[in-house]
Amino acid sequence: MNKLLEVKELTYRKNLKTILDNVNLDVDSGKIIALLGENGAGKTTLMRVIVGIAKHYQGDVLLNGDGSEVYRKANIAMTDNLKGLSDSTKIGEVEEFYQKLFSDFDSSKFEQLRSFMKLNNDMKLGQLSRGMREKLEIAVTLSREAKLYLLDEPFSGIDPMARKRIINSILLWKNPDSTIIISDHFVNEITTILDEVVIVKDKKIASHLSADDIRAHGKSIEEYYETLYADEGAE
Amino acid sequence: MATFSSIFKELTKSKVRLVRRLAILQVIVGILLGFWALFNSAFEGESKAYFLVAFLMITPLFDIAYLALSSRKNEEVYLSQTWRLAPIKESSLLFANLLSAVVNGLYLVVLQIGMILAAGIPVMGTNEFWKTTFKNFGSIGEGKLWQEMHVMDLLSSIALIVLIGIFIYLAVSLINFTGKIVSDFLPERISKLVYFLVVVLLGCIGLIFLINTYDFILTSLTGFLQNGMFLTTLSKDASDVRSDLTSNYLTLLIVLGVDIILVLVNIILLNKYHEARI
Repeated sequence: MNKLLEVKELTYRKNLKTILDNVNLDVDSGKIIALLGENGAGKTTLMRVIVGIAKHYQGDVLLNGDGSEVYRKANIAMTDNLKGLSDSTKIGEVEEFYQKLFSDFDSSKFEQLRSFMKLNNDMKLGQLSRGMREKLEIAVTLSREAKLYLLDEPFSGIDPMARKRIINSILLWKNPDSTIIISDHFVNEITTILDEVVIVKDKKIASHLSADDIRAHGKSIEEYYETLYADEGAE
Repeated sequence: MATFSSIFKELTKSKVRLVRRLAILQVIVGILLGFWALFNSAFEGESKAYFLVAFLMITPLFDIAYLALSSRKNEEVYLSQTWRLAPIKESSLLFANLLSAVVNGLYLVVLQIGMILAAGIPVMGTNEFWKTTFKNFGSIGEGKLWQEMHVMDLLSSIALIVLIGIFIYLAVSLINFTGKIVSDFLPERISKLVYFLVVVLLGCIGLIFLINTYDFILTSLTGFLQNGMFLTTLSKDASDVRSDLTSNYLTLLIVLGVDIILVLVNIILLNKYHEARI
């Protein structure tokens, strides 16, 4: 298996607080990985460091052995809230924006995803509900032919029915060689598609196991996750 | 990897809305001011020139508004995750952002020239206007205007204005970057206060610098225009007034040098320390 992502001795500090402390993480190609942890555990920060937009860190982040930020941004697709675009921007214009900026953006895939998410090209960003906006974020992210996808709590505003439909369809949109890392609170809803689980706790990677290994111990991923955090409560 | 041209085009597109909104607002304000002046005989001279006068009066105000608003827009780009995720070097993002603001500023100037010409249509129908014009531009017939026109000086005056605009954009970025970076390295509870204090402190230093150099820059700008054409040719007595070219070009070089230093400092800050907002 090819090592796609290597995070070595990563420490990130901001406002005199240590958010990530000596984090090490190796990720292979072709996986779907859950990044789990409490609010404020550092999941978003870890994703921002991996993609290359967080700066104050020590350690190394390598994608296919390359540590340059531009290479990482070019080959990692991360969900974004699109706040950099004005509310009057139409979905069609968002598509154009992605097409111009990301050479791996596949317009025909976006059209399929847009129609799957029931989004209209003439809708403006300011008119979209939180759930619709998240659907658009997922659509533009998955429309890129990236090596690594980082989905940061992508389903939190989406209604349960649509959420289930999108989660179940992720495998359809994913290139077999690419890896998806999903950070989420809805553990039980994504377990069916997971290959691996990474749990962030106390500013470190507390656990990185394959989903099959967890199941082999007779536990569901949700139970395993809850046990790991319950240990802290018992202490 | 994204190309410079693609990000420049997208940034220009994102700012062109601001230019159009300002231009529409200027048309509305200009017309209202023109009518107000007309009904109240507020301006001196020919009433047909009131709209022209109104537009000429408000144009600098809208240019200053553009400078302030586009400067804010530039900072929003640096703080935006959407733009910072683009696979391009931070230095290219900075140049594309600056250039798109300048290009849109020039677009606003073109629109304003169109507005002024349109507002001047009523006055162009009067004999008085053409008499004055022929009197002032009589030198065209004599071939003097073209002989006395110094293209390099004219271009230098435009370059100086653009470089001063760039200086303001870069100074605002430097203040914003410094404030944000310093506050990122301090406890969260005081980070907003520290950001505010740094911005106020650096803003005051910048303002003092601008006040002290105002006369110096204005003299050079006037000098370029005198040498370039307008003031020497259009004024009867000013044909002998030649500004000191060396000092004018020195000003141009100094502003260019300051801009280059600010660009380099901003690139380092953007590259190493400045993060987009979540």
